Amino acid sequence: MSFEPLIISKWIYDTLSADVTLAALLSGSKAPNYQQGVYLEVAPEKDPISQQMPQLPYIVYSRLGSDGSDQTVLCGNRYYTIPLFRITVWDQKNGSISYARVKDIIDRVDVLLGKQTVTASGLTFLSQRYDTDQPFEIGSDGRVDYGLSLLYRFNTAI
Amino acid sequence: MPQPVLVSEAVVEISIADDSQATGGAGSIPGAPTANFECQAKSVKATITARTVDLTTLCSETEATFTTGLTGTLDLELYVDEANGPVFAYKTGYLCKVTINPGGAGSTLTYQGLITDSSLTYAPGDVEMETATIKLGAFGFTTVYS
Repeated sequence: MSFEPLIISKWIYDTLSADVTLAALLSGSKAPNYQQGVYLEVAPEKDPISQQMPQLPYIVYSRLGSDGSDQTVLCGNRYYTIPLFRITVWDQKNGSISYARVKDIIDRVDVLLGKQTVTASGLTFLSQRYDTDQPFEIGSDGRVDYGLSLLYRFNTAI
Repeated sequence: MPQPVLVSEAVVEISIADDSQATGGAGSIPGAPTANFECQAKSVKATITARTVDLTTLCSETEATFTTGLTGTLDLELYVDEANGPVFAYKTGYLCKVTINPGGAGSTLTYQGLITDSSLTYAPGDVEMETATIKLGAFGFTTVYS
């Protein structure tokens, strides 16, 4: 028995950070991989590669609970579980919002993460796109950070 | 103070006859269950019902119900194992024995009857499941459980 969401979280990070196409889309006018660009939970104060504040666009992903409780069998074991993860591509705008840049990035994320059957660290799971969202945050300086989110179910056999 | 039976590590053993009930012969009577499905079984529900006749007469002051025999059903929900496949598919019309031991004193019972319904459930992203209904006390058995 293990804490399955951490294995899935690592797979998400490894998959997104290893893709050359995604790195190019995230770099904008800078060199690919100039910063980490894929972060768990929140963007850090200082990017571990660039050693500077993370530059938009970037990806933040986080666990969003589970789709129902773990399923058990009569022998007392857990049988399968469905952790949820939200992947959000963030960008910023001082004028009207355009999704052109983030759409290309989130489309690439969906190619990499959607409908994948994966065996990792002894765990088998199927990723399934579940929902979408379009979050935005207004800063105190009037800057608007906006994003596109994908929610995935990870149907996990234990 | 009475203690509840917390169902964990329950034993669920199933045996299905080699031949259908309609075929008859020795092959239509299953042996004692030995194959354990406790780690595939999601739930088991056994219902035993007394068949009755009403012997009330014109002078009776109450309904005079009389038992003539036992019947009932056993409903099982199983997750389908990837390597072995469904257990009950193509087995409707076969006699079956199911031993349940959920724990607790004197709780091991072997139910026996005829598989009358089996179903498989497929849904996108969900695990494959099967259900079966066994009508207890079928022709070929003298009791509904032992």
